[in-house]
Amino acid sequence: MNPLVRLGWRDLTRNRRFSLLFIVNLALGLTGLLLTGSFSASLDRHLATHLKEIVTGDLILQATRPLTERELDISRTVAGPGSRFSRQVSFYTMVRAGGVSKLAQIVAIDDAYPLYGGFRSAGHPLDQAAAELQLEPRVLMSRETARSFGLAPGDTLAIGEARFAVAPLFDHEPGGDFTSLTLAPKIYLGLPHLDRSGLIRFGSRVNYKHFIRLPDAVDGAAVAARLAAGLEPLAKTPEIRMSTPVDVNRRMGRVIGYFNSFLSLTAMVSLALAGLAAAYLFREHLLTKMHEIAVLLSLGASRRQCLLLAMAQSALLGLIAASAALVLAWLLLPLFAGLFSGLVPAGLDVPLDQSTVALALLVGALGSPLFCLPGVLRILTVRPLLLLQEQAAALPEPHQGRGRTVAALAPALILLLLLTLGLSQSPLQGFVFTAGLAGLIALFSLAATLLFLGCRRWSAATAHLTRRLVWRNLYRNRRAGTAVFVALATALLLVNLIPQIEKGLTAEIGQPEGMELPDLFLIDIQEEQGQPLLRFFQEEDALLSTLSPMVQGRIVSINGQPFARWRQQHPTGDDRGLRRTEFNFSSRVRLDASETVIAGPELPTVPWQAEANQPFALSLEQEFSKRLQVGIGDRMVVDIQGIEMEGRIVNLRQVRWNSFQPNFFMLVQPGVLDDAPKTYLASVSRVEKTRKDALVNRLTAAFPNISVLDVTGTVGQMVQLAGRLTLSLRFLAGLAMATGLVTVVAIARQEALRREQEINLLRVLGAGRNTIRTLLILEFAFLAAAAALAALFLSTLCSFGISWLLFDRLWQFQWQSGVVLLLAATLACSLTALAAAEAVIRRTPVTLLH
Amino acid sequence: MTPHNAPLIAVADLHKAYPLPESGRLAVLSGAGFSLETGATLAVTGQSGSGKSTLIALLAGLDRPDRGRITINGAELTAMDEAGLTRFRAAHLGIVFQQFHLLPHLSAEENIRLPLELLARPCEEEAIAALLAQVGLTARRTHLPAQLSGGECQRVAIARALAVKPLLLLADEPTGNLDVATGREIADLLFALVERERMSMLVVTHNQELAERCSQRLHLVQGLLQ
Repeated sequence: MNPLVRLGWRDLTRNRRFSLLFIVNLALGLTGLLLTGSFSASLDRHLATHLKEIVTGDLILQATRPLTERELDISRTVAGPGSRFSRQVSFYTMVRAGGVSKLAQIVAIDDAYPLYGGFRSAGHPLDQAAAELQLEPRVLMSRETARSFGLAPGDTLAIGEARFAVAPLFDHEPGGDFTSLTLAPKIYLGLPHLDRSGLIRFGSRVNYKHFIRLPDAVDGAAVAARLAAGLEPLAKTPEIRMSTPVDVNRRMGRVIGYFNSFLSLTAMVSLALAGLAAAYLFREHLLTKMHEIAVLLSLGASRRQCLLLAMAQSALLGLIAASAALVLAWLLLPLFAGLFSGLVPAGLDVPLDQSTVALALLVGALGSPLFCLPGVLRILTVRPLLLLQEQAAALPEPHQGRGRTVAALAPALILLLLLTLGLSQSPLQGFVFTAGLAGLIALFSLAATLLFLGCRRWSAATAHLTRRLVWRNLYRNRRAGTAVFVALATALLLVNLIPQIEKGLTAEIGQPEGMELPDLFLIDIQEEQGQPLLRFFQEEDALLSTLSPMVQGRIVSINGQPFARWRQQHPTGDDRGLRRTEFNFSSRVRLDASETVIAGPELPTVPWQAEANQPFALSLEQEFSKRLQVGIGDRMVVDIQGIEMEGRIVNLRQVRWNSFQPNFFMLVQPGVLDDAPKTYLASVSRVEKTRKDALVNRLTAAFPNISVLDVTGTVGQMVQLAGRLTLSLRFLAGLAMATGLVTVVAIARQEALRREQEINLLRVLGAGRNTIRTLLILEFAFLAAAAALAALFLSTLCSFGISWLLFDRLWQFQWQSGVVLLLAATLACSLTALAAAEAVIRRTPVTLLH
Repeated sequence: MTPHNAPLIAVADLHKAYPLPESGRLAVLSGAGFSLETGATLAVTGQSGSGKSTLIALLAGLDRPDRGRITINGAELTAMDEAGLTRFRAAHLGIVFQQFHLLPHLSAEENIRLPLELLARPCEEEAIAALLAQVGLTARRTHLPAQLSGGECQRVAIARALAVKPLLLLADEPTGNLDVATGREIADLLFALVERERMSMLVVTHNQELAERCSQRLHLVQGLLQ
């Protein structure tokens, strides 16, 4: 074996604590990367392999009206021979079973559905039960849905005016391969029995879908393009929307991508902290080896050999750390995936992803030497003539130039940047994250520098020996102290940021500031039901409010330009909801408490007169106006129920969507919608929790067409969802915190070793071990408390900023988690440091005599 | 190779100064010069800080003079780059330090073997065993430096310096870290081995007894050799 390789190996095995700390530290940093990488790869893989089953067709045509025979003829002709078609009609309505009335999504299917996938129970297909839906008035539902209604196979339930028997229950449904999160549970019935329910009437919000399965060799995208061209001349309102598995993949991929990218970036914080600690650990270890390197140089080894040796050592440690991370990630993956149960496909298989494993091994083997490079380059400053007696005294300490240190940091920073760019959704996101992290570290370093300058002053100002020693030690060891401060503060910031945002978000969802959430939200109210409904709630001693008309219309043009061309000429990058031209319009005399005009005057209360030949007044929600790139004074022609009318934007509104009140992107002047057939939305409040179910049952019995959304239940689901997501982030933040604590262990141990002589001297002079321990505890407790305070301050600012930017200013100060973190971090850091240094403290001071 | 009748070491007009922490420079060698024949031993004495170790560092190629010329065995050290100096040092020079400077993770035998391995020269078991026997450490060959006494460590260091069969042995206060009796033993060993291997030796020392055993003696005063 090469003597240097043997030396390097022996150095690592003899310095087991250093090697172990290095490996544990880097392994923790890499574990987050492996967890998030494997999880997202599993999701992507699942999406790719189950896409057709999720979409249940190669092409989907959908509209809020039935497709005409002409449209269907064109579809059949374009799809060509060998294609198969399936039809589906779905809508939300109240379903009654026993004494329970609940909102459900009714999905009426034909005998060809599904074109891909199928209903299954315990792995067995339910083809027979599905086929019988066409023959008998039966329904298929999941076990969970049946449980929520208190139903079992053979029981009956009422949908509108018809009763249906419950068929065998399924645990897997077509298209239900992705997430179990829905507004209401799905109940399947046969299309021939839909009319019996009597629920499809004017104003009902019904979705009509036609699925097409193409022969295997046919190009779906080409058929979609030909079909779009074929249907275009028939353009009819409401329009037909067409999607292919590729479109669905892109949409779902984008959502999943954002989520994965957020998780991965959180994991990157751990890796960056681990890199920071690795750099410190290796540098400190190398400093103790400078003498040996000088001996090697004096014996004829070259600097290049010594540099390579150190790099190989760090690469080997990195590789072992990556292997340890693989084991840890393999153990933690089921737990991590479990955090997302209900949000991701049931039974999603999450193995360690091969490409992520390769990446982790590469980062371990390549990243580790890069993190350690600034320390390794110190070898260039080793001067073997220091081995000679007189030289040691005559020459100054070897010093590495600041320029070289900064240059040596560049490869590691580039690696982190490349990783971040690879893991994030966009280059901008990657750059912002890396710059943010670098800025954060710089900011914490500056805070630490100021703190240590303060320590120097305090040490001069205090006469108390212990305190003086503490301040002086902190100042003297400011480089190591800065590393502890930065690592702890960054990890704590991450840990505290999550509850800060979560608290604001959940509190605002559950109880928006200055507003009272309604208890129920009513949909599909017919025009003639307004007054009876008011009376019903008066008798029930509940309050029906914000009864809002809703009419579907289409934007025809903006400022004289056809809408499609306007969108092309005014791209915003945020085209959410703008692929369609149809929107809901409403009108109200007085604004709801959840909306405020932020620019322009209020809408006139005087009804608009079509004969006046003046445009009607239009109010736009401010974010919607940004996406459309329109402002006050712009003119829009809208088609409402076949009649084109011109409106002028007079004001912009800010809407608090979390109010659960009927709110709309576009409000029109009273009078505009008068002649249009419409349905209404309303909210109901002042319903006590104990009588809510009974009230809903009576409401459903009296008004079977009205759908009732239980706001409290939905809010609960949203809070639960937010809780799940934040739990996953906390998990990753916990890894970052563990990395931070490993840094504390490493640094405390190194500091204790470095100060061994001083500790021994103090002991010889009469200081007891407890005095030494007190000094150490005070130092690290002070450091941790200062780092925690800095982190709390900054995390509060960050959470406020994030809430302001992303969550519509949903923010609340959460002091409890801050106090807990401050105390926990101080205690954990002090005890960790004490444990790390205990071996040195326990040594006998007789070593001074050697 | 050394030309016929040329000295093994020829040092001429050697100057070396170090920057002072505040300002200015401290001149350590100011035109020092000497020569040493093959097989001769030279003691360099002088007060602490007189530049003795600087001289040995320059001869070992561990540092460079500001001015002057050093030739060893016909090779001009002052004209070599760092890689050349490293190769020359590894192949032709042996160095013994006052603090021994053994690698703590290597056994006595492995420490001795190391220079040969760095040069990628064959390490014959018999040769290493012979070296261990010559320094009287056959029984301690597997021991780590921490398990050896000061005198034993210095014996290992001497054996390590001799492993490559150098032309010149440079010894920096080889007995300075040892008690009188052990120091005397080490000196005996050094001179015996130098004589047996017919090599030259330059010793930097405060120890008069050691200095007097050398065939030549020079005293370093104010940067000049007298």
